[in-house]
Amino acid sequence: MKKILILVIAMMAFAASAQKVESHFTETKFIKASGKTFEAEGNLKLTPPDKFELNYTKPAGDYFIINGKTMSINVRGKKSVVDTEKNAAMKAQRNTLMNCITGNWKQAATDNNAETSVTEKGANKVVTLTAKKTAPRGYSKIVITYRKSDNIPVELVFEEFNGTVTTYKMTNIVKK
Amino acid sequence: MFFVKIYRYFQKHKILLYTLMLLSSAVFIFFGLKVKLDVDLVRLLPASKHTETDLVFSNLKIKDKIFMEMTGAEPEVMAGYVDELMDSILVDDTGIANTLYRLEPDMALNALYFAMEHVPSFVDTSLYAQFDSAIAHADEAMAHNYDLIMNDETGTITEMVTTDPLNLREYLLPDLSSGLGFTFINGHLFCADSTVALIYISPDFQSFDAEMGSKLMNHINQCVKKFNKVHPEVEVLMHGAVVRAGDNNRVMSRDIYLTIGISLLIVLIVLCVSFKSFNIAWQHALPVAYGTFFALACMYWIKGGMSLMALGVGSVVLGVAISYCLHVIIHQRFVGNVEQMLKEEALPVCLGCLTTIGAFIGLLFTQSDLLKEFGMFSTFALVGNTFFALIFLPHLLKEDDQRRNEKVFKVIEKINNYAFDRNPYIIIGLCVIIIIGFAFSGKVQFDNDLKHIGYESDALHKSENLYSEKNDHGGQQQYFAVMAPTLDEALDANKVLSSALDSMRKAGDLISYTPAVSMLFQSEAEQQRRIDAWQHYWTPAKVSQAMAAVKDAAVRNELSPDIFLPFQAMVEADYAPGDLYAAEVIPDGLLCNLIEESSGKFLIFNITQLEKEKKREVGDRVVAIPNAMVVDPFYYTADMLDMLRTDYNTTLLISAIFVFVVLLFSFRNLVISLIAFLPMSLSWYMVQGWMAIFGLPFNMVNIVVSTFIFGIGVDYSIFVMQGLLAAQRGEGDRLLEYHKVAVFFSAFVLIVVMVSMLCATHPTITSIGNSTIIGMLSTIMITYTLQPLLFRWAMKWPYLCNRIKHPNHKS
Repeated sequence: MKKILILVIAMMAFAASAQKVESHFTETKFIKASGKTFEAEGNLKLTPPDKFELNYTKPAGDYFIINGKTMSINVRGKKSVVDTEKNAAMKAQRNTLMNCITGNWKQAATDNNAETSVTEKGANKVVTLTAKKTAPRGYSKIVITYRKSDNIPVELVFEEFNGTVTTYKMTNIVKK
Repeated sequence: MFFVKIYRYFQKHKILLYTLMLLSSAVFIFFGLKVKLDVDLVRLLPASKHTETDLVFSNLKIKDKIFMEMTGAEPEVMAGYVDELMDSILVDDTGIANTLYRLEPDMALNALYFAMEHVPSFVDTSLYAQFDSAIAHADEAMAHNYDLIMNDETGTITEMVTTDPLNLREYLLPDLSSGLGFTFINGHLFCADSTVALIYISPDFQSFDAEMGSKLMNHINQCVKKFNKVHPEVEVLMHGAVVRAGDNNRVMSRDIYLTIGISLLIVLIVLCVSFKSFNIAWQHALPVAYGTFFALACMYWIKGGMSLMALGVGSVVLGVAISYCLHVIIHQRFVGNVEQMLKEEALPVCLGCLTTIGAFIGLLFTQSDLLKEFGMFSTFALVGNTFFALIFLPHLLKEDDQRRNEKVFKVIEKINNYAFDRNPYIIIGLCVIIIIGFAFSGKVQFDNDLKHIGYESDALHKSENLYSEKNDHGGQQQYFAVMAPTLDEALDANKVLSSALDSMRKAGDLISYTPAVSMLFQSEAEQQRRIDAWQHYWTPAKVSQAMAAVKDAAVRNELSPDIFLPFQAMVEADYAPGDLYAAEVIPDGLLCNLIEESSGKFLIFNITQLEKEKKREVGDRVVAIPNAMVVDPFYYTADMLDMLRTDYNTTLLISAIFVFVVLLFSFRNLVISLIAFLPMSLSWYMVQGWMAIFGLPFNMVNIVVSTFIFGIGVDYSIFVMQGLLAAQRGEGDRLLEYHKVAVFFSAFVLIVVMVSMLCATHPTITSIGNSTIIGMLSTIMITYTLQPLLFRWAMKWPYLCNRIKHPNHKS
């Protein structure tokens, strides 16, 4: 039974990875150090196999785009384009994000030296990756909520070792 | 009689003659045009030291960098302008290896992440004492951290602060950007006071590649011109080896075309008028062109290319070449019989050619590539020209053509027939001039700065001065480097050099020096040592102490102590050496200022600013360090130029002996040979003395032209001596008259060319003009006055007179 379940999940993940997905998203960043919370929102676009876009409408003009091995970032007009092949840290960040979005959370757990737990919550499945060891960078905890029906993530929570928590919630999900 | 026989043979085989002439011309033109020209002044230097080091040195990109400056607007505006200008330049990036004018947005991020992954590698062991101080003063750092965190809207600064709450980063990279001499505005490079935007362009060819240099500079100049039309308020300046070479190439080519071209036009017009024939123009031009292309083809076959400077200087030799044509053509105009002309002219022309080649051939024994090329080119040009003048040209002359402008010839004959050698005032005046020349000959200055040989435009000067004023702290920028087969070995060697430079800075010998490479790059062994030192420092007790200090300070500053877990993770993490050079974290345009791989060797550069007067002293101390060098080819030139000058004096002596031996063999009389040799030997001292009096220095190029003066001096001397001997043998003054007319025209041609050279912009060409005019005037005065005077005195010796009149009689 367990093998069948894994197979189904893998097939669903494949199905999800093969689909173009667009949605609205909200981003909430809580900086524990200052106690401040920052809100943002925009449109998400996932184009398999390796293109992922967050185009912000608030603050307008900001973006975060993964296109193959390149990461393009615009934060309040400060733009950067990073070749992740030349930067191990950025490569790890890119891979973690892409693996979480496309349902390949097991690889994300391995890459981040994290323990995993999976729970079901109504129509959703909640995957939690918890770092085994404190590190100078990266995430202490990642919580991903996938829709069971098509394995598309509806919520992502990234918790850093310094307590900063970033939450993405996806709504109006459209598969193309 | 040899040339007469050849003439008769070809008279019967005209088709063979013209086939040979056209075919050989086509071959020489085809291969001659393939010669690749370069403008490397350093090739003047002796080639004996062309070791592997020199090869690496010559391939360095750093010395060929183009420096551009933009000034005249607000920094933020200029940052945008720089992008606009560079976008237009980079539309065609042929010849451009890399550029540096802004830091790409990802550079800082890449560098930050690399640094965080290899923190211990950047910590010099001497810094741990400061770490202790930082732990002791955690409170102060935390107060600052509080401000940073509270103003952070993206989490990035919080991430940095929670990883480094003690602000250790300040000890690791103390203001590296100012150490490199830059200020960054909108990511763009500016000088320290932000008034000048800086652009560096590294070409992917060597600066002396004239063709590539010209193409690139034309492209950049066009882009700058278009840019200035749109933005006239800003000024764009540039300098550097490629700019200098491009200016040199352009001005030298223009000067050669203008001065030589216009003067030759004047000469040909005068000759056409004098001989009432337009044929005279091509009759002179053909042998010279044939000789030139023969020489260029030979240079192509032997070396593949030659220096533009050697070609430029070599063009002076064409004056000598014309001289031989003049002798052939003028003699023919007088006698109206080609065979008779060949009988009377072949020997002195061949002898003149041989002795002139003898004068030039001495250059082949010098160790300078450029002088060798000049010697080779001149030799081949003369051989080709003389060959054409004696083999082909006679068939192109009309047998009975004796047209000439009697008015012109009367004036010439009047001058030529004037007995200069019997006028005591002229003789005494000449002797005084010679004695003064002798007296001052030792005082002539020798300018051994190769930079003075090249042309420098006002714009280039302005650019250099602005760059120096803004970046060199009142001194001059000087790069020093170490070289080793591997990067690790080079880094180890650089530690020694860096330490020495730092000591010199502390002692005041350097105005400024930032050991940028030592801060950023360490060998693998050194990195491992630093990692060990890191682990040795961050013992569990030290980590506890530091974390306690951080947490206490956090609480006192109203921050959560838990947020600093990344710091603890950072000091406790395992690290391995990294390869910053291979990580491509630093852009090529910046990296090549620090490290360059050339010809399989790694070079590490250290940028210093120092006073001009201390350049040599500091350079001498640097080159004494193993594997260290001064990145300035001109540093190595002074000693070599002295060597070359000594070498050159020896060469002149060899040439003089060679010429004298040839004269001795041909005249078979010691006294006559000595008299014929006189103009050559005396003119050299007169040139030196009078250049000293006029305050004109010799340089490595115009000193070479002295060989030309020797050559032409010997030629005149031989022709006049042949005439004097013929007259003494009772054959009349006819030959002397013909030869004197040819000498007159030859001198006229050369003086017109030399005077035109004085109008040139290029310092080398004007310096050639100066020295050659003095040399030419000396030679002519001696040939017209002293030579006949001494000959007449010698003929008062009955024994000698008898030997001349009856050369085959054995007494």
